[in-house]
Amino acid sequence: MAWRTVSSTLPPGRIYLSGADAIVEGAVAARCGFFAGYPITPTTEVLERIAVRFPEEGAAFMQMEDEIASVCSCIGASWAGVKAMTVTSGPGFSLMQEGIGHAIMTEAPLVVVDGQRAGPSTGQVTVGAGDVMQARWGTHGGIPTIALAPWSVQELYDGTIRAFNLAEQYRLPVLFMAEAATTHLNEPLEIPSEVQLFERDKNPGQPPFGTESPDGVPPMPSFGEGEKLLVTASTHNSWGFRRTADPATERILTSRLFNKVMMHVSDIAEVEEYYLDDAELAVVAYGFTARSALAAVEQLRQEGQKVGLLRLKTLWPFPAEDVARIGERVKTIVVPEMNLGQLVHVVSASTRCRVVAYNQMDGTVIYPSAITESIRNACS
Amino acid sequence: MTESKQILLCGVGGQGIVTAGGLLGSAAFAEGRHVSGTSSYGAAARGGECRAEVVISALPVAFPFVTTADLLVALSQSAYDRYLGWTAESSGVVFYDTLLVSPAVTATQRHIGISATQSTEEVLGSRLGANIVMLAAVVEASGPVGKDSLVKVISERSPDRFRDRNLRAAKLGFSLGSQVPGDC
Repeated sequence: MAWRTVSSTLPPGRIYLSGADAIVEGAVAARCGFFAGYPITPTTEVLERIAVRFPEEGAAFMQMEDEIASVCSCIGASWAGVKAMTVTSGPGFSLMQEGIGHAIMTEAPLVVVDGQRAGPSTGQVTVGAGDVMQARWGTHGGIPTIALAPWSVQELYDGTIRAFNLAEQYRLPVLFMAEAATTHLNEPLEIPSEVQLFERDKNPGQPPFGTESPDGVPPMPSFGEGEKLLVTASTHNSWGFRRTADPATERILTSRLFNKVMMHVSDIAEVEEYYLDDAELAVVAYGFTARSALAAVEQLRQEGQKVGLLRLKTLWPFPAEDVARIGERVKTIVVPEMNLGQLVHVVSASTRCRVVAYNQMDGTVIYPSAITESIRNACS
Repeated sequence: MTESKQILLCGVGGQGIVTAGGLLGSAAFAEGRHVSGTSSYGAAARGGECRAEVVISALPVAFPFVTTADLLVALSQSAYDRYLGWTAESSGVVFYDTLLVSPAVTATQRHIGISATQSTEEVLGSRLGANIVMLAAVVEASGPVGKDSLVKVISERSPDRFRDRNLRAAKLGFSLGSQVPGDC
């Protein structure tokens, strides 16, 4: 494990910062070396701030002609040996899907920040969580990647750093599923004195696309280091040679890409539990909506109701075992989402417990009162 | 001043609503209080409605949006009409710009007219800074944060070319706020 400790790039202590700026400072702290993007609400502020901050830190900023070029530039930068990121929102996230698939197939670490909004298409530029299933199934082929769901300015900072670490550790694109509700939020943020970073494994002379382990992550050389490198998104063997008509090569490659995520769910997927010890009803929520859910749960607890919250910090790989465990203990699970029902289907598939959806897709956040009402309805 | 306060500032794009919300939140943070600030502006930067919400609390803020406003600060008629209903009945206080807002005659909340836009034009020569004048008047009259804290963050966060003007705007706002009778 190539972990190293580095100093924070901001002075340690508490500051009052926007979510958009927290993403930028998280990327700077993670020593991201390259950004390419195309402006779009609600993450234009991220791009604008990066245009200032990255050059100050010796990192590159490029405004591209569109989102396809943005994500593809990041793949190139990643193979050139630097940490790379792009930022977008729903419509741009749709355009980036082919590039995300390319990064999965070529095992190129990068971070894609998606400031989600409602949809479909350009839809509403205000709040929403429209891209939850797209993060898992948006690119063809069905190979999983990692998607995180931050809920605060603090987590937009900490989570951006974690996104880079996971990208480097597992050699894949990590999808950082922010929302307009959090990128436009200002809150106190604690800057630690040090940051833990995962540095890309190097092992000269070894194949860059194969390991002996069926769930392994191969070392990643960069162009310019003297290694003979062949990078293709077509089916390839451990040395990168195209083998598009060889079932065994396809099987070995795709199963390893699948297993390197799905055999490490417990290391990747994080949840938080609130008031669940004696709960008879659990809310399962993610992203900003989990804050509304926590406020609702705390209000109902004051009224003596046995309710709790399972907060999913990671959307993909889905923490199915945690949901199943909670489902064994409660009678009902309520899943509030700022869309017309996406993750609720995965929750339902993970438990035999009764699952009730609460959906809102109107460009506004779900208020705690709406969740308390949905809980009361679910109990009646 | 440890009680919770939900403050909603509203107007149209270009009036500096988001800036005022940022200054208020920063001032509360500088006082070591729990605070969250949000802003909503899609196409509002081009003259549409926009709002900034600031929640100051004795405890960490779980839900950072205004559920019921204790203070409504309105700088346009359309925003006032839209958000008056968000303001607490009877206990809520509404600060409105006397040039730009005609208050609803049936409203139950206490209404305080501040001649922010007009005074800014008269004293500072243009409407630039009316947001700061209004915010300073609210701070003087209602005290969601201390005056010193507000002056400090205006000084720290203003671009160089606007700092003097913004500090003069704050002084003007304090003066207007000091003419408001009684506690609010």
